[in-house]
Amino acid sequence: MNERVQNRFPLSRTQRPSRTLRRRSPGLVAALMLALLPISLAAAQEKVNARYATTRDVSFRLSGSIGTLRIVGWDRDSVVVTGVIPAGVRLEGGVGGDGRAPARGVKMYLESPNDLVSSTAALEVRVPRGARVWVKSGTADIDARDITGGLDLNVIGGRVSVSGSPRELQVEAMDASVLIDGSPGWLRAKTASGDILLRGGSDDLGLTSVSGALRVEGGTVSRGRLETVTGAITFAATAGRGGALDFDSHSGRVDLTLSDSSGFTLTASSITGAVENRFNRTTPSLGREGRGAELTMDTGNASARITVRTFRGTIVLHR
Amino acid sequence: MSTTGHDTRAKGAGPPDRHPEWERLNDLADGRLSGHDAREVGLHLSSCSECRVQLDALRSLAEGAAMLPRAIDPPDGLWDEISASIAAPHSRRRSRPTALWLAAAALALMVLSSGLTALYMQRAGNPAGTLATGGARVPQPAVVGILPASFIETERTYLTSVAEVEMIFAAQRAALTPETVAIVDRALGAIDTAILEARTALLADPANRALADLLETSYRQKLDLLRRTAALHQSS
Repeated sequence: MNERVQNRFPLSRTQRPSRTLRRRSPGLVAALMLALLPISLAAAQEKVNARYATTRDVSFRLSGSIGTLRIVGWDRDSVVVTGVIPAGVRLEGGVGGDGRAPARGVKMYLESPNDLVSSTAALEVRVPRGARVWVKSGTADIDARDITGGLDLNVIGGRVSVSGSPRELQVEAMDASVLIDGSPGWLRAKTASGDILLRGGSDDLGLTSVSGALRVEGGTVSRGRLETVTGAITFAATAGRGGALDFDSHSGRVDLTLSDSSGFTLTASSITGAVENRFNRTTPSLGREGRGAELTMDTGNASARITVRTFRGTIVLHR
Repeated sequence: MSTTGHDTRAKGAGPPDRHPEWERLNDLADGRLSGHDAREVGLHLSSCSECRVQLDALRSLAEGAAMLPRAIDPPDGLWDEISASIAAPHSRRRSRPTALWLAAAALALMVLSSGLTALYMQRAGNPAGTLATGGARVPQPAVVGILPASFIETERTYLTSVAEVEMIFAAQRAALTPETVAIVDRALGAIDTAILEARTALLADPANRALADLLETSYRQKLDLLRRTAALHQSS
């Protein structure tokens, strides 16, 4: 295995012959390609099977356009990459280390002319649970599970799903939806129009969108900031003791479901919108300059601080 | 972390005699390390042959990937689509904005925003300085047209940063897919609307801290979105 660790590994061998032929006779190549099209399609997929001995906290990096990526943490000190890539797509990689010891880093590139070509590429990457995984892709469906180290996932579209509780999790997307099932210690997720759903909590949480909905269900959040411009915010989790939660939305509705058991001081203000209190009998007051609404209330030991601000989005507090 | 003697440590500053993390070497190889960090790692590299070998290997890998064949026959009809696109009456070439042009645009936004404040107040039917709230009209202070002093510098900083990143985004726009550009443009439009609304309201109520915070949040979102967009093409 270490012998392979030393070398780059060109995984696709389908293009060089065709490039050579194309230089010699474009017309002949075109005719040949048409004739061989059915055969080419049948053999269009190429299998990937790469294995590396690594450290337990290996850094794994993958960049390039990919259709489907499954990342699985396992209890072995090795990285295994399997799957299929379509013709025209090449996977190259290399490792960090001198080859005499397990690699501390694995880096791979997926080269494709565009997302369309690589949309059928499907890879499964098995990494040690404590690995730090970094992925940058275009439109992709990424499913990561059982990682306890770090995850840094960057896509444009598609879908990102994370199961488990990595120590650090960062997801950046444009219109991809993001689902996190677990309680990462540190979590940052950003989208433009994609929705973000966290089923769990976090010690340090930051969710940001422009128009995507932000939703947190269950778990305990110690420090959190949820920001959106037009998206809705739904928070139904426990504010950690002594924690601080901030919610900012310009025009999106904010729904907070809070528990009596977690003491907090809450300040809610909407510049031109409304504040509805269904948590207790405290009545919101008219906002500054006689418009909008404001509400301040304390419960329990008031150890947590919750601040909600909107420009015109309605704020609703639930029990 | 290491079985090769490389220390685990957080990103950021550290003594130059310690081996940098593999990820930092990656960032250096990819040209993603900031000036200070690059200098720090460079200092270490000058006296560590082991790390130099690592860096050379990473650069070699990146260069190898960059040289991979990209020649893929385009699908049938692609050239026809391109020709049609060029011939379409609405198509036009985008010129690259200059820093001066962007700075002027930022200034124009500020002036326009201030002007719209008065327009907004007038169209709300409140010549005497009133705003409708749930059907009622309540007295409003006259539009001052001046942002709170504490926010002026904040806004200037954001506008400068936004102008810089917009220039990068404009240069890279063609490298992004039309779908991605459309998503980003829609998002930027939503943020700009929010900025305009919050700024207009802040001009009318300069002492409103919550408004200033909301406006700053929108500026931060715009800057962050532009930065993320500008970084997108590095993956393509």
